[in-house]
Parts: sequence; structure tokens; C-alpha cells
Amino acid sequence: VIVVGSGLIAFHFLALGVLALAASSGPWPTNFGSSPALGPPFANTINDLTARHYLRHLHMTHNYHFVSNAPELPAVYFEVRLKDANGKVMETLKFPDDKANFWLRHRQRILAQGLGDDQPVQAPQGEQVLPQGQHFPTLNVWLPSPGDPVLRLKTVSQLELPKDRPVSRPSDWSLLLCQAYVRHLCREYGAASAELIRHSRNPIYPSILFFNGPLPRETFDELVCNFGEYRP
Amino acid sequence: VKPKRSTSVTAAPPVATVASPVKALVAPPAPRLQQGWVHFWFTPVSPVGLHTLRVLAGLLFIGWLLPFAGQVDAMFGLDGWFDQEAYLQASRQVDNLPVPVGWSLLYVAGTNSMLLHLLYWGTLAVFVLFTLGVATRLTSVLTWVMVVSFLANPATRFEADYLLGIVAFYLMIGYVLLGQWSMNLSQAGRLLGTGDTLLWRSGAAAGSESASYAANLALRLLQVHFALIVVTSGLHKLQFGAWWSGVAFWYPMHSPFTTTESDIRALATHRDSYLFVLSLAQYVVLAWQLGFPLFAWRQGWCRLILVAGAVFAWLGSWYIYQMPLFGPVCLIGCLSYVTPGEWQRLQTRVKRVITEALARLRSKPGKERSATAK
Repeated sequence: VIVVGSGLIAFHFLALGVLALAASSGPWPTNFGSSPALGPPFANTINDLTARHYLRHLHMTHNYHFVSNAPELPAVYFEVRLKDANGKVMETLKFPDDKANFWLRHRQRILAQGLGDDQPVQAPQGEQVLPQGQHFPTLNVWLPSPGDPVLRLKTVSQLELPKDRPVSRPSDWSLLLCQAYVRHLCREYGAASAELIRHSRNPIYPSILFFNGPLPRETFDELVCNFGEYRP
Repeated sequence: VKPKRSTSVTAAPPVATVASPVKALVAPPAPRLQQGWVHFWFTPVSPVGLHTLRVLAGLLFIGWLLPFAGQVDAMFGLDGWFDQEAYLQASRQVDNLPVPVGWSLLYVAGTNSMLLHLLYWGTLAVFVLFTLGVATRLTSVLTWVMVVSFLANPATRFEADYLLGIVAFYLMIGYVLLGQWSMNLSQAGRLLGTGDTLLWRSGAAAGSESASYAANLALRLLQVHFALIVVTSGLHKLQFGAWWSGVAFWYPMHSPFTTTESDIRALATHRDSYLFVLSLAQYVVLAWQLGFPLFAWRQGWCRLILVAGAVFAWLGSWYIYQMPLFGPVCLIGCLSYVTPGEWQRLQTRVKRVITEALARLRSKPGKERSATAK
């Protein structure tokens, strides 16, 4: 009993230990900007087996690197414009909803945070040449339209990426979340389509307490991103 | 169901006195490390700690699920926030998912709202029975299955939810094995659990529970896992400059959507003292997390550090981060380190206080009556 039990206990905590070790860390400063570092190869190799075949079935695949540990996250809320078949706005909903109960609002906040997970996009450097008949891959990135401060999701070729400013795109996960939630709202409210607009602000840095003059203009700047219109 | 031994063990006995089958396997004397390992994992203890955690965890499970009563379809249904199509899309990009999508009994309900509601209310009933200690062998398994089933929706899942699954898992191990070795159980007792787990059992019955290997194993598993979580999370914090510079609490406390220029101006007048307190509190949290294994298993004054830390973690996670679940789970994790002896001393003290208070209340009207008569 003791030998078998000990073996099971050791295996269980080995699986949990390598899960925590295999998590990527950082971002750390490198010569090419900040970059996350992968976990050690031995932990990754063991974790590939134990997480897939053991911990996943127990729903224990969280590596305890909690998102809330990263303090400098942008604050996010979003609104959804529900439209009828003629494209007329029926209703605009805001999330997190101030009228919802605390518990529901908390879940809406998690959803909003999930939509705010943008990824930086690196424009290719130098001259790009492809063999005849091949095309450069396209990407969905946030780009402004002339005279409109709202960033919209646009599909552009890698060659068209602006090189004079940082460009980002929503993660695949946030696009998936956005589409699923919009479909749900359309079903619930009987809307023909819906448009999701995300509002986010960068965190306020504590160094602002040391400003004697007027606060920098960008302190409360709001980034508005339109995910576009979706039909269920 | 009559226990084989009517011992009311309050503290772990030394390995040498451990009853069979463990004793036979331990002898002849093993090296110190091996002995320590066996003593740590395979020593029978009174299940009072396990029962207390079950009640607290059961209340937490109910408190976690009940607020979604009006949003069952939206939160958990396949027509909800994360619908069937989203699950299909997610299954195509498994490696890029920030949260894994696992199995869930709720998938059985599909888009059938009535079946989903039935599962929801049935789950709450199971949680209530488990909290009360009814048929714990069965309800503990159902509780774990339903906790992880309700965690499956990746769109609505909060990180502390994972911790609920962990607590439910170890409680399940404890209650599935409880009494299987140390008690003479009927067939029903082996399948459904012992009557000793009932919350309303009589005082005499409560004191006569036999020591259990399962109770110790479940609590030890929870303790080690919880220590791993606390330390890993503490080390993760050290990857961010804000935690080193002592301003990590600043950001959640000053959300850019709610903080105004006048708030900042008001804070700037006493910024030094404000940042001093904030950074000190943050470093205390870091020290508590990184030093956790050093005091968690110790008794005496260390208990104060453990429990006070858990209470502050609850208040802090609610006030600073507005996270309703981290605190209670953290408290349950910390209470798993309390020994059966400490629980029994606490129980005795609470009972005495209640008895004295009741006696005082009973004597008051009598005194008032006699005063009126005079």
C-alpha cells in the first residue's frame, strides 16, 4: 500500500511540478527587445506527456502563473451595437454592465480582459522578394482610417504593414471570444448582426504622483478598436 | 456503522504505533527520510479537519455557483457566451488556446435549456448534501465531477476557479477512502460513506471517530499542492518590475477608467507615505508567499501568520483586485494545515463560549423577573 501510494503521490507532484516549471517566463530584455523565455526543455518534455495524458483529465493544467500577477495590464470595457436586418442600431450594450450583479459583472470583466489581449506585429525588415506566383501572407491588424480615430480590423498583406509605428493585432483567442459572444447576443436579442467596439486605456503609472505641472495628455487617452460587424 | 477502534485521536501517533497494514510494511526500521515520508503521508489522524474543510468548501461551492442562477444558459449553455461553434473553432487551434478546454458533463445537455437547468439545480443539491455530510462517498465524487464540469467554459472561467477543482479533488480522495481501512462498514457504508460525516451527528458520535489514513492523505495532498501554488505564484510575481519596485498594488487600485485627475492630485499631497505603505504591504505579501512552506506546517505563533495571512489575502483580493474567489479558496488552503488537535481545541473553546453565552441568556430573564417581583 505504501509503495504504490508513494509512487502515485510522487508521480502526481512530479506532474504538477513540471507543469509549473514548463511555463514560459518574462518578458525579459534581449538585444531584440523584450521577449518571453520558454521553460527548460526537460520540464517541457515531461510536461508534454503528463499534462496531456494525466493533468488535463483532472482539469489541473493551470500553471499558477496568474494573470493578476502582471500588474500593468490595460483596463478594458466593450460595447456591442445590435442591429436589425436593415442595419439600424436596435440597442447598444455595455460590458461590464454596471447594472449586473457583482458576480456576473466580474465574469464580464474577465471576458473584456480576454478581448484586450493584443499581440504586437513585426513588419518585415529590408527588401522582400518572393518566387513568381507566390503571395505574401495577409494579416488582420488594427489600422486607423483617415480622419477616424477608431482603429479597425483590416486584412493587409505583410508588405503593407506600416514601418513607422508599432502595429498590433487581436489574438486568435480574443477574435474567437468576440465572435462567440456576438453570436450569443444576436440570438438573445433577436438581432440580425452586431458590432463589437473595445475601449481600453493603458495603466496609470505611479510616477504620475511626482508630476508638478499639468498631467501628460496621454494619461487618460482611450484606445477604441472596432472588431467589425458579425452575423450569426 | 461501528468504528473498529473507538480512539479519538487528536494528533498523529508516531510511526511505530501505527496499526496494520502500515505497521507491517514499515518494519524493520527504515532510514530517516523514508520514515519521515511514511509518517507524513501514511499516519492516521482524526478526520475532524477533513470534515471542517468539507463544510467550508461546500459552502464556497454553493456560493460560487448560486449567483449564476439567472444566467445558466448564457454562462454554461452551448448557446451561451461560448457556443458550440466556438468550441469547434477552439478544438482546431488547441495549441494556441490560453485556457485548455476539457471534458464536461454539461456538454450532454447540448443546447437543451431544460436539461441544463436540471443539471444546474441538481448540482446545487449535490453541493448541499456534500456540505451536510450526506453519503459523502458518493456526493464527494459528484461534487468534483460537477465542479470541473462547470469550469469547462473557457470564456467565463476565472483563474481562482481552478483552485475550486483542486480542493474538490482532494476532498473527493479523502471521502472515497475514508473508513475503508479503519472501520467495519456495511455494504451501504462502503458505497455511500460513513454516518460520522453528518453535520448534525450527536456530540458523542462526533468525538468517537476513528483515526483515518484517508483523512491524513487528503489533507497532506491539499497542503503540498497549496504550498506549490503559493510559492509558484510568488516566484511568478518576481518576473515583473512593479513587484520589485513595490508598486504592484498601485495598478489595480487605480484603474484608468475610474481614476480622475483630482484623485491623482489628492494622492500627490501625501505620495511618500502612501507609496511607503503600499510598497511595504506588497513586500509583506511577497514574503508571506515565498516563505509559506517555512511556517505553514508549524504550530504556535506560526498559525497566526498563516491564518492572518489568509484573512488579509481575502480582504486584499476583494478590495484591491475585486476578485471574489481567491480569498475564500486561500483561506481553505491555509486551514488545511491546522492539525486535528488544534481543531478539537478550537471546537471545545467555541462550544464553551456558546454554552456560557446561552447560560447567561437563560439566567437574565430569571433575574429580571425576580427584580420586577421585588
